[in-house]
Amino acid sequence: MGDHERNGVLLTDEVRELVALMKDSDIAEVLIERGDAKLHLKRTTPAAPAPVTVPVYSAPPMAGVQPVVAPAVAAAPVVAPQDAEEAQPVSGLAVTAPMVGTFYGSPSPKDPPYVRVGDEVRPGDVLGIIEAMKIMNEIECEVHGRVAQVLVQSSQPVEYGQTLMVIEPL
Amino acid sequence: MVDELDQGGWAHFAPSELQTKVVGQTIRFFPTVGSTNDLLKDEARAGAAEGLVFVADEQVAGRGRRGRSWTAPAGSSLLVSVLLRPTWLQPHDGFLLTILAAVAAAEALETPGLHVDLKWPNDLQIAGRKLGGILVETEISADRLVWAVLGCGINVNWHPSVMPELASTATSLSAQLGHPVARRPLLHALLTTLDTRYAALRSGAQSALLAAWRDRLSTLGQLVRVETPQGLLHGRAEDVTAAGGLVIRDQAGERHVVTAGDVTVRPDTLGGNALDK
Repeated sequence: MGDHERNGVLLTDEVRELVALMKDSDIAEVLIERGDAKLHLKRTTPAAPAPVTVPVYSAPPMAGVQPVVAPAVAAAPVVAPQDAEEAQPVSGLAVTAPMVGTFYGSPSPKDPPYVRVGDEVRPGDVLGIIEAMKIMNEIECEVHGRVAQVLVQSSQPVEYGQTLMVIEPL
Repeated sequence: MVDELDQGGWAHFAPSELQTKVVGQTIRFFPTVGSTNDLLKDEARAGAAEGLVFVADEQVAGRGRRGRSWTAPAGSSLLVSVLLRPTWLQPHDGFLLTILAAVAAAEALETPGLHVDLKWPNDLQIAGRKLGGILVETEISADRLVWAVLGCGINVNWHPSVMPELASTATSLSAQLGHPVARRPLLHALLTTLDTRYAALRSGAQSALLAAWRDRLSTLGQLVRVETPQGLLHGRAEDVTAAGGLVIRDQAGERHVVTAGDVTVRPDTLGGNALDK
């Protein structure tokens, strides 16, 4: 009952509705402030169409607002909890998916993630796993740096070349 | 049964007995390990040469996909992990290693009266029951395949009565043949077929490998349910793609290509050819 009345935050349903609204319109950006909470939704410019055929499944996508067309076109809302500045591009090296598959952020669902935003990483460190055809492919870090962004969630399908993380070199 | 390991038989398994080029140039035996794959991955990271093989009698923390456990009591299983460095393979062609391991294992375990088939993509089966599993793990750096560890776990001397909860879904060589099976010749056969298939793949026999794999896939033609990371899919498994994906035709006639998921052949169609609805 009316959680948003009480602590001034948006409910998941409301966010979902907003995202749906954005998808069906030309609205590129929405900024809402309610009390202390800010919600900043921004549509990223659609990437070039993914070259690989995306398998289509009959079941609805899991959580979130996954576009049915191509997961690579990130319609994922950029939610900035505190000060929603202009979503400034993070400088650093993009770690991209070397294949189509399913991304996993941890060795198994029970384990903590390999890396989190802010972690210092070194060459040879495992950043994540991409499963393709039952092969577990460990993606290795190539540089010494800090994890600036993690752009994918565990169990999420990824496309060839999709950026998984951004590493800021140290 | 009295195991060969206790008689020192495994420890004396000299690589020179093998006529292989790469696989099994060095073999290490362990009475008990957590997981042969984990041990071998450490060696891979430390720079071990390809062909290194780890064999264990007992595995207490063995793993399947995504942390599912694959434990095996002493003497019951053939537990083998092989280190390869197929740096000539593109990362997106890595699926060929899963196929290679599955085909080679099926070829090694098969005997004249015993047909081993595969459930897409890499479960070893006899008459619809699981005989063994494959877990391939690789490391990719700078878009290059650095190493691959091929892990095989085969049910050898294991009777369904000891694990009744698995009896309807799993089997072993001894249960099928009705007598205990020595693991040493099996190991010899497996390392040989792996080596042969690996050499062939390296020299470009990709389509031959895919054809051998397709021929063994009992999944094709069956009505299946597939748990994909995106959701559940029902339909008929029609074919496989050149990239190894399973082609499913759903009830609405739509074609799907699955590259990740757990396939279950729907029991109502086992051995039959009933149309869905």
